[in-house]
Amino acid sequence: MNCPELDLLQQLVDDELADELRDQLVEHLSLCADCQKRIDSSAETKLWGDALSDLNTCPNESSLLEKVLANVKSSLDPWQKEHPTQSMYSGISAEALAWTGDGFELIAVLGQGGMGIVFKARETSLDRVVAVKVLSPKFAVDPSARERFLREARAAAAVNHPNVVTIHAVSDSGPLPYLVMEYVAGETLQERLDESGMLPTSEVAHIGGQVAAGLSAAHNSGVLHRDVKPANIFLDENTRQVKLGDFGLAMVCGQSQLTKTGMLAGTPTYVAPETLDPAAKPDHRADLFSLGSVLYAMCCGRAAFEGHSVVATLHQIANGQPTPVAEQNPNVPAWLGDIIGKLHEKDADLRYQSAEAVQSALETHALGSIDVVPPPARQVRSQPQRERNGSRLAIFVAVCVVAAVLAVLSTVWTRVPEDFSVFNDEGALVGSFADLSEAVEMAPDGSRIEIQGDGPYFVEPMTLTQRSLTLIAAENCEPVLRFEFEDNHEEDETCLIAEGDLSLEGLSLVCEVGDEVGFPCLVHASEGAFHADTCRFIIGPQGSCLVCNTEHPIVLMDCELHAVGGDCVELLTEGEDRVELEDCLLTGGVAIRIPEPQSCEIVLANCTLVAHEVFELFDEEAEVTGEQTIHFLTEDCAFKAFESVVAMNTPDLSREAFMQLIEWTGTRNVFSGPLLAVLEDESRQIVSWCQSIEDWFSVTAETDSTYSDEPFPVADEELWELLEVPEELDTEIFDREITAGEVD
Amino acid sequence: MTRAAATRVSLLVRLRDSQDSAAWSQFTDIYGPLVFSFGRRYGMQEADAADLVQEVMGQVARSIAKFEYNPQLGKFRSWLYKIAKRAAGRQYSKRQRQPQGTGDTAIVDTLDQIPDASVDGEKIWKRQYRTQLLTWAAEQIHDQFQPHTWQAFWRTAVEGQSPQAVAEQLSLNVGSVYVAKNRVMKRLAAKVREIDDTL
Repeated sequence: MNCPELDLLQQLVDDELADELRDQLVEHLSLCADCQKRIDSSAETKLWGDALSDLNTCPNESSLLEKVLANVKSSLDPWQKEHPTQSMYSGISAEALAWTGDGFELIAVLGQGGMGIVFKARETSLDRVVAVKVLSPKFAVDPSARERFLREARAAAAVNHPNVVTIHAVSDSGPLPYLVMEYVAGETLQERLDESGMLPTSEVAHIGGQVAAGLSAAHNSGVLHRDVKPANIFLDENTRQVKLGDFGLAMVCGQSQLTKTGMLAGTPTYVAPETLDPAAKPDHRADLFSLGSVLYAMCCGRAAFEGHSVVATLHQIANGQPTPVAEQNPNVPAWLGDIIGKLHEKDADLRYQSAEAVQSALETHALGSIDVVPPPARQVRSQPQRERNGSRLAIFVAVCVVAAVLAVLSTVWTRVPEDFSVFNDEGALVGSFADLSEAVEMAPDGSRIEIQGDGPYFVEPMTLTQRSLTLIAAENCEPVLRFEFEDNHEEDETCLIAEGDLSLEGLSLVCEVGDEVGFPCLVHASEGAFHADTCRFIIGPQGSCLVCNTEHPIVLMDCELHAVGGDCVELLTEGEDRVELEDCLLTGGVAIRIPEPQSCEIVLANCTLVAHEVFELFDEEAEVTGEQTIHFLTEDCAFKAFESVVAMNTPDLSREAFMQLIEWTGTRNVFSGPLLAVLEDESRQIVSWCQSIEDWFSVTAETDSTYSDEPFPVADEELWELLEVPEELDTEIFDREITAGEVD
Repeated sequence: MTRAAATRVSLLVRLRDSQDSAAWSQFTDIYGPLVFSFGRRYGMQEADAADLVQEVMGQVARSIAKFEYNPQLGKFRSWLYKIAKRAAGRQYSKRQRQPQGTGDTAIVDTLDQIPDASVDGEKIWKRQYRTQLLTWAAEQIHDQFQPHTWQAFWRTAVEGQSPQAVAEQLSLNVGSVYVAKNRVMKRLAAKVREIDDTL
């Protein structure tokens, strides 16, 4: 037999051949070494390498691990936490469970109301998690109720909008009709309100605007909701998206809420007055009244219309006026109170006439309120700095005027947006605050401060005394914290002193240093560990981004540090420091300064460092004893120095002493500019034993690294875009230090 | 053709749908043990490693949507490594503040000696990541094969014995051993790709 084609060998592996041919081929394969090689080379063997032989080693067995895995699984599934499986089926009729054989696998019960049950289930054919609403058997036997259920569900299914819970399917095939809906992971607005009471205005506007958008889409397709209430508003915990569910279904089983007492329990709080009048024909504006009640509940933490009994509540809705929002919560801005008042008009003609109009009213004001009311600190503090030469009296008058204006304004515009939300270590909201220092003061140990907005926020220097604290940007926000010093600052002031562990995520920290300030720094990690992820640090024209004086790990990932005329990172500890930078960009006078000889480890992976001196070692008086070793581990980095990559302040540095002091391990790095210089009486001398890249490679352990005279990986213009300096910051300070002309 | 592998969306993509709890459960089964052994290698006690698993899984759940599914930009493997490393660092510093059993200096000593504190960390991670995926995949497909097919694969590919020797042990002809080995390997590869096709 001749050697078969590769295709045929493949078919043999895939078991796609007739028996006879297969046997022939196998026999040939037993004898033909060539074909044995060919069949092996087409396999994925090479991909795995020695990993396959690792299969032979015993895997990690731990009963604790098993438990953790089970725990993790249930904690990733928020519904299972709230609806423990033991009680899952209690109180549910056997008929209601009947449909589960129908291509669904039951996961949990989400809710049970008068008209039916909602399950969380897995649709086995598509392997997706859905919510299934099954009509209660007691209504399913009534053909007209059944008909209405299906009709309403089909109408709602036609609405396709991100703020409306999608209906995937409607079924009437089994004993109980049901509909299959999108499952929204997260809580309902009702649960949120139960947990945190009133919500900050920005949140009210956000949720209200999205509900209005969803209603608008439904109304435009001719679908009324008829039961807008917090329990039907779902907050997606992953996207912050708000979704309105349960369209039209409330009415299916009880047309008049007054007559069917079974439907009343807990629900009439949000209905519109016209729905109570058997003669009236409620239209889409009834949904808007309910939306007003939802907004009211978010602002005040309680319902607008509340009586001691169902009848008393209905009486309130029909005839009463709710307590004005401002009386319940003085923090609610007047415009929001006005919107709610207009939605609560008993006469539908006096309300907003469309959900769209409500949406745009909420959105316009929500934006406007932030623009119109500047943070007071900014007015008062920036004034004296800008007019430094003016007389003290003028400044005093200006401050008084501003204060007076603010006092007047505060009666009209009662609120500054509360963008700083504090969550404790269990994730519960402690409170929302208008400025960072207040939030920090109220933040317990281990908490997380989430910043919901871009700012710029004007911040005074502060000390964080918590053992551990996280400052994090809310989703889709890029907050800028601008630090400003008081006029009577001390020298070398620090913007943020961390006395414990500090993590920053997604923030920009900016400080424009005035003439009178010495050499300040943005962050001083003085005790605990410091982590920064996707942050930007900008300081100039002098000062450092980060001063580390801690024995705990310093880790920066995806960060940019720009210290114009100063240091990006300064390592002060005389201990076993470890600094780790990954995917970072550093520009400045010095990228990393180590003032005292010390043993430390500097790990740089995939970083770009552009500076006059990338590494500056030791103050002038420092003595190198030969006992310390600075360990550099660098991988995929680019170093560009205008003066030298490593600058030493120790004049009599021999090649041997250098090699003893610096343990450099590098892979795939790119260097540009002079490599090693010694500073001597203000002048820089490139040391004789390190004048070429070959010399450099001979004193360091570099593999696959290169030297480049080409423009650097980060061209200066690109650097500009990367900087994205806030407009108010005088950008000339950046020009001065890093220009193309100085590159030579 | 490999129908299943071509059309099936990999687990990593499915994870972005936070509602796909089957995907999450599978993810936990595969990657939980990996993170656990990473923590143990980092010098953690079992309970701490267990905490680490919990934290890393939670982190992934929160940020998987941000993970750009683009093999050119970065592999899932490295991304997970970063998360695990960061969480371990955090836990390490937390532990330093609340010294338990092990005692501070002891931890520092071990931390210095363990490979993960150095640039080798990711190399080791890479190997363990593969091993973990292969182990899991092997368990999944094991039952789909006749015992002698599986043995032919195992003894040649895993134990590194020669096909001739294995043929003799199993009373098969040499060609069948080659076919069996390649058949299992192919299925194994497809299974692994269902989980992570950036590997």
